[in-house]
Amino acid sequence: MTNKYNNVYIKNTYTIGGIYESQGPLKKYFDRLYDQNMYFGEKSFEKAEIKLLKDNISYLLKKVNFQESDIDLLISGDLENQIAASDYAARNFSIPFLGIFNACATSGEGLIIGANFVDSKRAKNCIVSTVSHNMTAEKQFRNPTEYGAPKHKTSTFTVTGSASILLSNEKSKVKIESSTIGKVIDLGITDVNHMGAVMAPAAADTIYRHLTNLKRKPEYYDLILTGDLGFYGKKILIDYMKEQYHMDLSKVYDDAGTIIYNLDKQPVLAGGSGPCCSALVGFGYYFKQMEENKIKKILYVPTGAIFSPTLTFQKESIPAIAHAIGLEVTNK
Amino acid sequence: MSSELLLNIYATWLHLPRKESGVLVILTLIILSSVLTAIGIFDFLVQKFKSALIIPITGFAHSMTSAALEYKNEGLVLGIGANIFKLAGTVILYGVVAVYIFGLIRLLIIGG
Repeated sequence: MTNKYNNVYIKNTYTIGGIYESQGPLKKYFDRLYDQNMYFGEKSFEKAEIKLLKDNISYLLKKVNFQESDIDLLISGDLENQIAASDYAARNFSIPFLGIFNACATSGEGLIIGANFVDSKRAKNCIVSTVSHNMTAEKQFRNPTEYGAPKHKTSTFTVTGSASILLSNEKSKVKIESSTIGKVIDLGITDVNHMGAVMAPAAADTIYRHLTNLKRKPEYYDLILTGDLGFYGKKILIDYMKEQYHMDLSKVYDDAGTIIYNLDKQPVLAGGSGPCCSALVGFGYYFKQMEENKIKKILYVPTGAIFSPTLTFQKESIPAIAHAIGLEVTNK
Repeated sequence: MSSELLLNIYATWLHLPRKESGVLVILTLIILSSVLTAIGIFDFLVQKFKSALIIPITGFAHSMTSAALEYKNEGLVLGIGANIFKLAGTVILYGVVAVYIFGLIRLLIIGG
């Protein structure tokens, strides 16, 4: 399903990066850095993740000089069980709340829902947020954090950070022009250490449908940015697009997971992942590039492996999803 | 090799028989690895030395300490108590099962 929007604008964004992100190449593009430790003054990693999101939304409101009552809707999601970080952060705000989950594609799902509310004039201002914390994700999906089991080189490293995007019907520099909702794609891969391979077919399907539905070529966009395929997933996507759909993405394509970190120097294996990986790169770095007119059209494609550790142990393969959101610079 | 060295040190310095000094070696390794886990060094060592630290008793102690640290915020009973064997439980279970099976085989073939 592909939609076009007429009056959905990104008024502003606020991004917070953690320790590893502040050692990466995008450090200066984040609005704030929490780079002292992984606890941010809280007692547990889960509480730290809640604080990260709570602070992020408060700072965004302050940045645009808005009251809570000016916001019609808050949409948020994260990787914790019961999307706990979003739920517990949202209780601090008197804003109607929708909690969503699409694993690492959560920001895409949020933007599509928010854009539809704003486009249909049911909401004037809507905040779409997402948060992820490396340590809670490790605890949730893998071994205890201090265990430090050796990992495969294809596995990715969950980003610590949070991003909030304020959608509005008031005209501003960057608009959301179109979107395509992804299908759940499962090619039968069961390797939890190779999420890039799991998610690449989902990204390929969404990108292909988005481009054909709108009768566009990949070069229409200055950049097609996937969420967190990582170093190997990125190569897989380029090959897969060529083989399966006869499209050459290599000129305009990049992956957020390989941009957010310095892959040669940081201990992040195949690159970054997590719902905040795509959001930090897309709305911390590229949003600012768009505001400065350095880049005009971006297809933002956050990718998510929507799997449950329980079902993985029960030998089920891993389903994946990707949503596409077209961002364009307006003439304002 | 370091265990062998430690074994000889205990045997000569404390004038203990090899068997008893072996127990002391195991205790030393357990305490050392638990302390290193607690102060956050062991996981870096694991990344470097991998199975050399995971397979021996050090890995077992590390798996328990790391699980205990992870769940300490969730209380003594439902946090640490319920989760300390999260990784080590499987080793204990199949260790005991294997001992029974091989003990039985030994009893039947060699006769004790």
